[in-house]
Amino acid sequence: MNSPQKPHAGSIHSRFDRITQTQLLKELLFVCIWIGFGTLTLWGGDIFGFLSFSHNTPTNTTLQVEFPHVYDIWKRGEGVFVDTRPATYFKRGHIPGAVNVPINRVTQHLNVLPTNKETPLITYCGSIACPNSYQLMHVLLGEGYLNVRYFPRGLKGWQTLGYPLETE
Amino acid sequence: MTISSLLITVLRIVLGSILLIAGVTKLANFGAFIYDVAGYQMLPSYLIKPTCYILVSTEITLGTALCFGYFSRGAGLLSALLFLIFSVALANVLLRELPLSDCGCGNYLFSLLDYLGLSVSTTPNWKMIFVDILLAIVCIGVVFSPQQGYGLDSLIRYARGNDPTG
Repeated sequence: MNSPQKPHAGSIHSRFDRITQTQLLKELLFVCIWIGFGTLTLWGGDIFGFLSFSHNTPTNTTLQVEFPHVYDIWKRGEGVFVDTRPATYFKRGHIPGAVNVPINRVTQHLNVLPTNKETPLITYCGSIACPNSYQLMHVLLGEGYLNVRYFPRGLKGWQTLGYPLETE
Repeated sequence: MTISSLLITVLRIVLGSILLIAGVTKLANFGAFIYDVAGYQMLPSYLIKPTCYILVSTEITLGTALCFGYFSRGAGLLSALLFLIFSVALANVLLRELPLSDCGCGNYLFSLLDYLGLSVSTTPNWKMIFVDILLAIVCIGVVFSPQQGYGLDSLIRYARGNDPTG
């Protein structure tokens, strides 16, 4: 009568035997549940403002432009507004006179920017929840533009205060 | 106490502390972390914040589990996956030549290697990918090691009358 073959001690097979798949799956399940709890806690913390001490306040706040200064800049034509959203959103509505440099197509759209690197540029995105304006500001600073700032409230903030929009 | 148990315990605690410190660092400066993740340009804007919640929660949970040796095999497997995801994200930045000044990794091993003169720094580079892949391999080693070292798992096994390190 054949007895069941025991795997060789120390082999990968025997190790798999020791770590039974059921046990590993059970551990994965428990860890995933804990990660889920943690995620929900962070989400809740953000909703109730516990994370707001750092949210939307990136490293250098002097690079931000806020109301009403942003409106003054636009009205006086003291800078070029750069919309970081995709072209389809840009066509539906943007700050009048703005140019479109989508964050994922920066190199292809750099030609729409003024050649004078000292021209003030203000990047903006859809709303305060979108961080692309901040990222694009850094990209443009890296491209050699000397006077770049970002408008964190974005188009939604602009619209909320009833400022005009331009469509294409 | 065997040398292999001790070695696995040390490796597990090192891996756990890397993840735990990275998670807590990101949580402490959550706003900046959101901008770092956006800089990878891999996700649509509405997925950036949920991804940040998941990443921070995952790092803290896995780090704690590995440090305390609780569900350490499951945590080790997920940690390996996490390090591989980090490697892919960093490779994406390098291949697309994205101008990301800070990887937002929070990995103290990078700072340590930088201090030792290996110039890893915080700007994405291929050495980071190498380190992340190495860490993923160590995680896999922890998962499939016959010894699990000392921790809550071994205490529970000991209480049940089983081999505490196996």
